[in-house]
Amino acid sequence: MSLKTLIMTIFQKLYAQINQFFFAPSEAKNLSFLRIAIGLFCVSQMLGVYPDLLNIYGAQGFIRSEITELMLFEFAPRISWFTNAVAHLGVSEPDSVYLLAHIFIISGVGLAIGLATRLMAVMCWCCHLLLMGTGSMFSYGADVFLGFTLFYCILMPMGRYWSVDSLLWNRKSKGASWSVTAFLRVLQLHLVIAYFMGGFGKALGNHWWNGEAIWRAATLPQFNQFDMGWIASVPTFAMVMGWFVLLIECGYPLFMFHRKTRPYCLAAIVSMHIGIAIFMGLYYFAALMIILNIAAFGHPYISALEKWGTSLKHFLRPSTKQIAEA
Amino acid sequence: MLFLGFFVLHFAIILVTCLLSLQTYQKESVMKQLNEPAAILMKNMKKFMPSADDVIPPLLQKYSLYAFSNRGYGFFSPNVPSGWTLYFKIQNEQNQVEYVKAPLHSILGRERVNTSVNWYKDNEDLRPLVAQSWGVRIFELLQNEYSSVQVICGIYRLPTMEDYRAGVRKKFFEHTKFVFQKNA
Repeated sequence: MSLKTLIMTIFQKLYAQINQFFFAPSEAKNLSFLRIAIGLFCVSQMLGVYPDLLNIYGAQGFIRSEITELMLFEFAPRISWFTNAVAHLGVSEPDSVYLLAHIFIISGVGLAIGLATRLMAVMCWCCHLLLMGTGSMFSYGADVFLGFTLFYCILMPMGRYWSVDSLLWNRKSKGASWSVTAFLRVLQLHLVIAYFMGGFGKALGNHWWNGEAIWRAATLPQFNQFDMGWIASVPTFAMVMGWFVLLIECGYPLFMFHRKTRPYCLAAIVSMHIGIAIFMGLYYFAALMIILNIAAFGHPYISALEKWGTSLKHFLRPSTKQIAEA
Repeated sequence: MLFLGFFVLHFAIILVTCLLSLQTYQKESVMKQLNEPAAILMKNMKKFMPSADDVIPPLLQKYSLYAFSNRGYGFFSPNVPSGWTLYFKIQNEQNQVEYVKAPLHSILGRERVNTSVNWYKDNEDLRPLVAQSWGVRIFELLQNEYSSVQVICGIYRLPTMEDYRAGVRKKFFEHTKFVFQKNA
């Protein structure tokens, strides 16, 4: 075999593998799960902050809008754009913040049930952009992850299953499609980069190697949920937990894309986020990360959930054949 | 083709942003926290690292802001920072004093405020302005019951595990303080 043929064969194989990785047709159930979960997350997030809405997002809130706007880029979205737009209709500033929150909740419900899916995704994304701009002082990791997920929701084919859209209009669009695989890969790769960079950054310091990071994270006054002083007396435990975090974050790309290690890595990541929720009180952040991980890599579990749902449906509403057999 | 164009552009921005976010580790204060090989790596990388403004054209910067791909992902890295905190010393007409945290009524409100306090670490110049803003709002909320509100912003220095075993406990250091009083 000549060198030219060898190179051509290698390129052809590589091309075929890349093509298979990105464009092999698959079903949209992961994305539909993501749509429902993110829609509900948006609703629960907005309801979760509703009692403090004006203090966090209002112009006269904890951080005055003049100060927040000092910190924003010129082109960064902010609630004042919305407030000024609805002011012509006689809506006051506090009412406009509540109006925006209600639009966000309605869009979240719309996204979850898959009614005008893409439009609802655009509306959720717009509301989130405005809220995150004005509330930038109070925004954190979860907002960034929710933001890019909503951005992907606009592009992804999410309304094919378990949606009002599929019942009303799109019956024919069900089935495998390359775009599902392609956008699922986008989500997977984004998570891979996020976790790897998180792990890499941690690996540069000392604290994650010697266990101090776990100790500090568990005892930081603003996150402290329980008396965690006992960790100091078992430093080996803190050190092993630190290594565990480094291993699963730095190894995330490898473990998640390898079929055999994927379930263990997914279980480890989910456990880590449950730990963050319980011991640091970051419930919403943890819930969002679990949703994203399951949507991106939890295909067998989503299928199992669907099968369970179908058997429950059959149990509750048996078909005529089942009744006849009984 | 459209998908490929989006994919290449989008991930190029994410990767460049993530690489450039490593510049935060090249600050003098952060460099001290790095382990030895990492410190050498960062020192050498400093020579080659351009600023984000030089690499990402303005139009793509806007795109990355709207697509939420303009962030690095260094949560709690390289180390877990000390705990910044904000609390309020409130005093009523009878000179009774109470120390309170921000009056929040929701789990997510608390989650947001708790994670935001680390902002004070990196923004020394805006810290007084933000602390004043907090004070004004708290005073507005509590002025019917209290005559004075003092905003105290500071940092908890946490002991290491070894120090903790030796009996050392966290210490609070005040950084910024403002008093708001009802006019007589």
